Amino acid sequence: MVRALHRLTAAAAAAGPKASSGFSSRLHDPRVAARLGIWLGASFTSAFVTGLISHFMQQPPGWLLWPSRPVSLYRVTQGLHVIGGLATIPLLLAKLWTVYPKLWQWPPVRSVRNAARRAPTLLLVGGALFQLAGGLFNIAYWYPFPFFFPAAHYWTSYLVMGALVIHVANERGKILDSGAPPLPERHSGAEDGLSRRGFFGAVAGACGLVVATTAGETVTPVTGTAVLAPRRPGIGPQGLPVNRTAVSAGVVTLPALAGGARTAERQWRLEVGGAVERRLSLSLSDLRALPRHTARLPISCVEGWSAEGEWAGVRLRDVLGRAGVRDDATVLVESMQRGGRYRSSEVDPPHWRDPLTLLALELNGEPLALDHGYPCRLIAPNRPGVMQTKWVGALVVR
Amino acid sequence: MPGREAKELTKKSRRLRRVPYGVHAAYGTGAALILFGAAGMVAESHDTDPAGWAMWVGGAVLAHDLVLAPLVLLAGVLLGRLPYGLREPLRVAAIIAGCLTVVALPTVLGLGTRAGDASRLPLPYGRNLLTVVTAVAAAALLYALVRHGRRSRGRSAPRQPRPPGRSDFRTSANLRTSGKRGRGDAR
Repeated sequence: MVRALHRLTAAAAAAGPKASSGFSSRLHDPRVAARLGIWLGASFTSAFVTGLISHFMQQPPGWLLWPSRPVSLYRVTQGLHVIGGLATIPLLLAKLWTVYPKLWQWPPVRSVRNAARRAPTLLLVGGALFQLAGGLFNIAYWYPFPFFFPAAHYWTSYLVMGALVIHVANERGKILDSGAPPLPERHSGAEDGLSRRGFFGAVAGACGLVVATTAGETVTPVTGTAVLAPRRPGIGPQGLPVNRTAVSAGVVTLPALAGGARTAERQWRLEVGGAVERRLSLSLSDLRALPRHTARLPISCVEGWSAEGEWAGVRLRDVLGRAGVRDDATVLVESMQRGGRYRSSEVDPPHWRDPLTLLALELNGEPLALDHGYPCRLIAPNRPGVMQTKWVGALVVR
Repeated sequence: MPGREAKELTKKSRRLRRVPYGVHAAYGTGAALILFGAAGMVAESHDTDPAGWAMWVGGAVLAHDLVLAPLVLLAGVLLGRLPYGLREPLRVAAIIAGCLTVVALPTVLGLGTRAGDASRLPLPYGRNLLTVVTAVAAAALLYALVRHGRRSRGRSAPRQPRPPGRSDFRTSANLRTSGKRGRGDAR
């Protein structure tokens, strides 16, 4: 075993980047790669954890009840997921450049061992590129893929983390080594590429600038700096971005927009049914007659942006109280949308009992804009934006 | 002392032998995660489209290894032809600007804009990217200029004469090669 390890190390040294003579920069170096790898490992782990939070908030297993507080928990975890993911792009590109000479090792596979080592690396590289490129396209609203992005992104994350764990185990020697004092800069002979410090500085600068030009889409105090972010809090109907417009959701057709809003308002009913003591059918004026409450809550999108609004309406728990529901009931909030994956959302007890959870009728002092879910939408703390169901038509208690 | 050396070696090999337990656990964990991910991918194939997925993963690898990385190497070579004092600052600037461009490209191309939703991709991304990239390049040039000025002043002083075009590197290797041209990150 030991001898095999030694042989392996010797082979690795011989096959080291320097051995492939075409690459002259001293930065094609295991220590540089290991240092970048440590940062990549940290950022991929962070993305994995925050990604799991987002996934299980949207599809909670039966035993899991998410708390409704802190109000902005999802805003923070998803901001970290997306902005952190964007900042990982320079890190990954730098790392792949550093180890690029190893790609062209000859022969491509030296032994069974070598093949067993390279296979997870291929999965790691392919999966990591897939996750970052896919995420980047997704937040830019470009969906050229044949798969449903959230599902592919979710399952790929396990493949990448698995390959990452194996890779870390394989490269543990280099990782431990990377903390040692650096080798003299001139060990590879004459070249005039970047110094190691210059290279790390450039990569850190790239990550920093990516964050600086995008983080403002969720960190509202620095909104103005987000010059490259796909969203700008404050731009949208009533000062709030929209992900699904009424037209694209099929709630209204364009001709209907021109005239019929008032008629629709008279016809609209909120039906409350399912496991209730008495079924309710509430008109808009019935809802307006209930105690009015306001809450300042963010829409926190799974795509990383978030924007706060001043919502006003009735508490979901007040409406459910009138209908009479069990304390541990789960409520399905249904939209008037005809279809779509996010047509309805489940509200578990911690959320529907929270006094901040509203069936909102107003946003920033006006009746809800049609694109924000007029006449009535759900807004709750610590909840992904896709689950803040718009154009609510029915509550089904279970 | 050969006895002590041998002892050190035994210690070392014992340490090497001790490592694999954790490593095997890592291999097991990694394999379990991969199997779980693959099983999920197959079980939800109506959503994940494994064949389409594999095309995209393979495509991502090829796009990086055969297109992006060679372009970066080419840029490295070209930057290596610049006057010596400009090379380091402009390499740093190119790395920063290049990464930012990659990150901004999907929004700059505006492939995701949709009529009827003005809040989606609402900014002039092309102009904004150009502004930021120009600022990065200007900062690099300014840095090079200031450094050059400081060098020239340093050279006119009688003590500690510096060879022309010396960089910040703390090595003698650079002194030897400072006059050479055309050696970038790759040839």
